[in-house]
Amino acid sequence: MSNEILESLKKAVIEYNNEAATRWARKAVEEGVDPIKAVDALTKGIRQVGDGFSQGELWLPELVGAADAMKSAMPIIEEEIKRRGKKRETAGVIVLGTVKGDIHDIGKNLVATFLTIDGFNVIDLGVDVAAEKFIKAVKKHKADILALSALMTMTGQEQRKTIDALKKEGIKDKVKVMIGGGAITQGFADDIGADAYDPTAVGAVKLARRLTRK
Amino acid sequence: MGLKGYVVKRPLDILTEEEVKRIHYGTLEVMAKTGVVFHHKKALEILGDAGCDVDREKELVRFPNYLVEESLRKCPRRVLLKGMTPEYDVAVGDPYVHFASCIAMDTLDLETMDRKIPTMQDHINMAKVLDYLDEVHLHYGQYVRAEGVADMCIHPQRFNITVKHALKPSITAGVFGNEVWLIKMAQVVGQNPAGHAQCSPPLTWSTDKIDCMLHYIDAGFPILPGTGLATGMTSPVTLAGALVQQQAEILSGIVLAQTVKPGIGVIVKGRIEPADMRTGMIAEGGVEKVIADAAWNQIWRWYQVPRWHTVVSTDSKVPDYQCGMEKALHFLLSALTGSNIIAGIGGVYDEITVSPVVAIMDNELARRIGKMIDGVNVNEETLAVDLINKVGPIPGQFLSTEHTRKLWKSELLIPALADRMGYSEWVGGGKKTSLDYAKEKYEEIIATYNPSPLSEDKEKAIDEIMEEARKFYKSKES
Ligand code: B12
Repeated sequence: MSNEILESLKKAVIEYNNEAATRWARKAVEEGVDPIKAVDALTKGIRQVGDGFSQGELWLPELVGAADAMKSAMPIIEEEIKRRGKKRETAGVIVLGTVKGDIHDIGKNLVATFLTIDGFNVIDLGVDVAAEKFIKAVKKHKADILALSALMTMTGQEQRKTIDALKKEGIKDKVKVMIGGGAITQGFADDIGADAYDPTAVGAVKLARRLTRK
Repeated sequence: MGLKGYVVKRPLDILTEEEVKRIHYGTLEVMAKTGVVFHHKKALEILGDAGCDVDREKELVRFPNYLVEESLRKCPRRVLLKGMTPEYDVAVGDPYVHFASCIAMDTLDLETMDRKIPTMQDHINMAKVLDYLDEVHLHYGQYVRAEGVADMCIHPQRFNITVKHALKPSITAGVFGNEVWLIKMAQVVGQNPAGHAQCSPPLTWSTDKIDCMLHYIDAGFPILPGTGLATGMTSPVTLAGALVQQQAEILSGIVLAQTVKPGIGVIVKGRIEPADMRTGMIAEGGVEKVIADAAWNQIWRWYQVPRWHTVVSTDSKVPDYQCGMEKALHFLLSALTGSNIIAGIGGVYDEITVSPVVAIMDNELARRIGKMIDGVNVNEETLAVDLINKVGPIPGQFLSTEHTRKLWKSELLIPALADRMGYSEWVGGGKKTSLDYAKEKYEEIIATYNPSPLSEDKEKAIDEIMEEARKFYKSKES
């Protein structure tokens, strides 16, 4: 039974099936399947789709579809992990969002997808996110990385404000900040004291790996 | 009086009448069933009073069909944008096609063709070049940033430069309220620049965009309700679906505008861009965008509301074959299907860069398109039946006839930038390309074209407004 459930979880991801992912996640909990194994099964699914993408056989709609299916199952399984007093191993926790005043999210969503596929636990706060809200989430989720997206020169300044606010809270050295988005450059990142910058979503994954290397 | 543009005598249809209606009915259904979000208290109130079904908690507005159709009928068929003097006025609407500049962040270095942040001088040079070019009828500003200019000041700053160095009318925009300074300047110089207010797809109007629209309406200036869909990302991946959604976004803005001020001038903006599913990048030069714009033109011709398109640009980073190809296709189909303003002059890379030398080349493109739209001029004289009878078979010829001497100049377009020489002459002339010709033209324009449309008083008045804006944002920074 347990094997069938794990197979089905993986299948739900590679078939982009949110409904099946939710259903099999519930089933896994009911049948007492080890939740860590359930996460592994989902991860295997998403890796397979990720490989297909890298090889140019699958495209963004499939990639995002798979990530969505995984997202549908995760809350149920995470709840069970917590209940059992266990801890899920991830590549790292990343709080992500588009800064205040800015509602561009196409690029940010891609960054979230690529990071999820790479095994990071991504907490996406959405768009138009104020500095205080980022800080709250960083504290709450004990984030390793704070990732900020800004598409306009004007809202680039919100990235600066967020970093300043981290300093004020005294947690700037507890979390690494990476930034990106159309209007951002390496020079700007250096200027505002961000830890890392990359012009692409694929690059964001490399940055995240580097920043979480212990 | 006024700048005339080109007349599209018989616009091209790419949808059947039935298809236009299906898109329209689809739009009405979405507006009535799901509705559109307005993050704006006052707008919710106004729309509620107008007869919409308003969910205040979700800030969601559902539109009854009759109200949408009634609002469409309140839109004027033509919108007059005022130039510095009446001969520069532009009447936007059928059957005219006009060309306007594109807008972007950066410029191209004229030597290396690398992207760079524009200086104030680059802004001035761009304004002058656009004003000089015969086929550019409207300014849509120069760049959305400038070295040494505070970000929040950019829209007023670029308008300040346009009115000081140019005679033609403007379409404009604003971000986070900075349009108020621009509007004040326009009032000083006696212009009525149309104001762009953009919906955020899917189906959401942000607070500052509604504020922007209301500011322009309040000034009595025309508005440009627009949106910008990325297919498969912020809209359905299908063009038909994207059209339905886009119509709903724009029409919801029109209902608000026509309720606030019945009869206010409206020029609608269509912009459906394909997102490349390999990378997520938006393909500004994709043919899907061209097709969507053509369909959009047809739908809004049916509604009889003036329409325009912006970022009629390319994904190429330099003025190369891709750039020319993508822009030519887009300009041409947009013109043939009845776009009233094609805002793409100068665009190179998406809305990331524009260049004055590209604007000079686009001017040539627009001229050729204008000539194509004019088509075949048929009358007794041009049919030349008597002449053909008179000249007869070989050894008859036409070169020495009065008919050729008189009419060749109106029949033949003499290109300003293209090469038509024989090979050896071309080599002897230094193997020039159209880019070389454009650069020469650029130098000539900058050296010789110097309109100064404003009196000293007016210049002073708009500089004071600019200074006020600077101080305002400076005080907000600290
Ligand atoms: C689509 C779009 C919109 C859509 C947004 C829809 C949405 N849900 O996102 C709509 C129509 C709503 C819109 C609105 C506006 N927009 Co807009 N928009 C664009 C456009 C055309 C494309 C952006 C995009 O999605 N690109 C595709 C994605 C994949 O690229 P990306 O976001 O850059 O992300 C990549 C990287 O940057 C990176 N990345 C992104 N985030 C992060 C984060 C990290 C940590 C890392 C490492 C990497 C990373 O990864 C991504 C993939 O490689 C750009 C022009 C352009 N071509 O860039 C203008 C642009 C960004 N917009 C602009 C403006 C001005 C506006 C408006 C103010 C317009 C107006 N006057 O109404 C409003 C702003 C509303 C607001 N308050 O935010 C300007 C900004 C100018 C500036 N520099 O200040 C631009 C550049 C256009 C222009 N030249 O004027 N816009």
